[in-house]
Amino acid sequence: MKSEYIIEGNLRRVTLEKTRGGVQITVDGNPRSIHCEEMTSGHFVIEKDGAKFRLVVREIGDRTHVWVDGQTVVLERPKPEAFGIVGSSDSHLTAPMPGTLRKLLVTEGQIVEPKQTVAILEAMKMEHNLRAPRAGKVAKVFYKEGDVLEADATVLDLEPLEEEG
Amino acid sequence: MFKKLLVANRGEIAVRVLRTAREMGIATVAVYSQADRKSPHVEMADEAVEIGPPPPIESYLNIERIIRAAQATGAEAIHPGYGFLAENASFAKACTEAGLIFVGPPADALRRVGDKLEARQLALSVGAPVIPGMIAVQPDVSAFKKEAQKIGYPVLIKATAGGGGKGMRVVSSPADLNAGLEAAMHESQTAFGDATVYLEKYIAEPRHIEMQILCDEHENAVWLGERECSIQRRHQKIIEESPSPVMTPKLRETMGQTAVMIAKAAGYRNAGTVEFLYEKGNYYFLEVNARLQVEHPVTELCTGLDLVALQLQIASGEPIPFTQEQVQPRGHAIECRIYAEDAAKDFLPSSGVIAALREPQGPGVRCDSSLREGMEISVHYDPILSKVITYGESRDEAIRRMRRALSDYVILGVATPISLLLDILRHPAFLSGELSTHFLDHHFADWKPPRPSETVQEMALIAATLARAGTRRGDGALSPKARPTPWQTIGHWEIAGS
Repeated sequence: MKSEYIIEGNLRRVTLEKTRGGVQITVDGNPRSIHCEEMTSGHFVIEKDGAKFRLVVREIGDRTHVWVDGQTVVLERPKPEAFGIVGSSDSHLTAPMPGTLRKLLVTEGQIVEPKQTVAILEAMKMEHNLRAPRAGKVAKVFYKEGDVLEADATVLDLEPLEEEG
Repeated sequence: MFKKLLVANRGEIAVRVLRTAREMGIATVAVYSQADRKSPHVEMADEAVEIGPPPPIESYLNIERIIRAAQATGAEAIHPGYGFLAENASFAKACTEAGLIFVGPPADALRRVGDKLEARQLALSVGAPVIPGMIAVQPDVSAFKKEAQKIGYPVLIKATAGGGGKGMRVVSSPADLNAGLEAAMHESQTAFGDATVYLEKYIAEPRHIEMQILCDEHENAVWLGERECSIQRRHQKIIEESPSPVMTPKLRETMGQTAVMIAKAAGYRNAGTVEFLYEKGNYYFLEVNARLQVEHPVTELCTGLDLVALQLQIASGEPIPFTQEQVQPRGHAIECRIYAEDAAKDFLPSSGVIAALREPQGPGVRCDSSLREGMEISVHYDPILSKVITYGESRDEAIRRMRRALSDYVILGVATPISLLLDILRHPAFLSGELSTHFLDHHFADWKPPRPSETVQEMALIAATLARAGTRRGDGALSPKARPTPWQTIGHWEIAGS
C-alpha cells in the first residue's frame, strides 16, 4: 500500500507492505523499523529507536490531522481520490495519459493477478498496456471500448481478495 | 435558598454554574440559541428553553426572552455568567422588576462601577491610589497641557467610552501632545461615537493585578486574594495566576482592603473583582469588573472555596460564611485559556468540528470546558474552548503541572494556541516571574509555531498511513480498512418525525 502526503510543504511517500514477518514500512524509500500498537481506532503508540510517541489521527475533510505528544501536524493529500472510496491508489486503475480505451480485457467480477494486462489505451499513436497494480477482483468498470479518457481517469476499481484477515 | 435557577449564558461558564447548582440541590434551567441546541449546558440542566436564533443579540442578549423563560419555568433567580448580560444594569433591573433574583450586584451599583470615570471618582473618594491624571473631560488643549506637565511625561490619552486599545495614544513629550490628542479623539469618535478622552500617567511596564472580593447583604465584605493577569495578547488575557510573583503579605492586605473599600463605597454586592496596575511598588486603581470572571478558578484553587456557591448564597440573602481572618490562600494556581485560534494564521478564530478530544487530568489539574467529541465550534460566539487550571504547592510545581497537562491535551479539528502557551511556560522571563502586560510584545513579537521535527513528521506520516490501512497491530497482519460506515458517510442525521 502506498500513500502520499504533503506535510510542511513537502511531498512525502509512505509504503506499507505486508510480509511474512509483519509489516515493512518505508518513508521516501527509506525503510523504517518501528513497533506500533493501535490502542483504539486512530490512536497509536509508535516506538522507534527506543523513543516512544503517542499519536491520534483523524481525517477531516480532505486533510489528515495528527496529534503527536502535544503538537498538531496537518497532512494533505496531493490528489483527491477519484470516487472517494477509502483505500490506496492501488485499488484503482487510472489512465496515465489522455487516450482512447482501445481494448478492455476484463469484466466485472473477474479475478486478476498482479501485472496482468487489463486494458489497452491508445495514446500518441502508440498502444499502452494498462496493468493491474496488484491481485484483486474487478469491482467496477467505468468505461467501455472506444471511450476517450482524460489523464487520471479511473478505468476500473479493484477489490481486495478475501484472504487477508 | 431559592429552589430554581436559570443560567443566562452558554458554554463553559454555564456548565460551571450548573454543576454547583446541582450540587446544592437547586433545580436548573438552561437557555440556548438554535446553534446550541445540542450543547453540554443544555444537556446538563433539568429544563432548557430555546430563546432564539444564533446571533447573541437575538438570544443570549435578549432580555425579554430570558425573563420570559424564567417566568415560564418558575425560576426564582438568574445567574448571568460572564460577558453577555452579566454587567448590564438594565438586565439587573428587569430581573428585579419581574420579581426575580439577579445573582450579582444591584443595578445602581452596576451602573456606578460600569462608568470608568465614576468608578475612578469612587476610588478617589476612599483615598485609593489612582493613576495620576485628569478627570475633567473637555477638549481644552491648554488644560490638558497643564495637566500633562503636572503628571509628568510620558502620558497616556484614553477614550472614556472605549476599550481594547482604541482611542489610546502615548505621548512622550509636550511637542507631541496636540497631535496625540487629535488622533485619539478622532479614533474614539469613529470607534465609539464619542470623542471624550482623558489623560493619565503612562505606566511603561505595568503588571495587571486584580483582587477578588465578595460582599453580602449584611455589610460583610472580604477580599480573597489577588490574581496576576499580565500575560495578554491584544488586551486579551491568556494566562492568569495566583499569587502574583511580586506580592508581599503587606501589599496584599493593603490592596485587599482598598478593593473592599471601593466596593463598599459603590454599594456593591456579590462577587466582583477590582483591577489594579502595579509598577515598582506602586499600585493604581484601574476598574471594577462587576461579575464572576473567567479566571475565577485560580482563586478557587488557592482558597478551597466555590465562588459560584458563595454567589448563590449571597444572592439568597445568606451572610458570607467566614471572616477575613479565615481566608488563608495557599499554594499556587495557574490558568491557561484555550481559545479556538490558529497561531499559524496570526490567531484568526478557528472553527470546525472537534474530531478528537482528550482533556487533561491528574492531581492538581482542572479543566473547565463545555466540549464534546463531534461537536461543532461555531463562529457566533466568543472563541474560548476551555480553561486548564493547575494547582501546586509552589509556582514551579504549578508550572510543571501545566506543561504536562497541555502536552497531554488532545484536540483535533480546531486550532488552538497550545504551542504558544507551552513556549511561554518555558521562557526564562516567565519562569522568573518577570511579567508585565508587554510580556508578549517583548519576548514573543516574532514568535511562530515551532516546525515539527523530522522525526515527528515521519511518525505522523506513518500513523496516518496506518490509520488508512486499518491496521490493528503494526507487526501483525495488515487488513484493509473497512468501507466507511453509514455513520461516517451520511453525516448529520435526525430521527424521522422530529
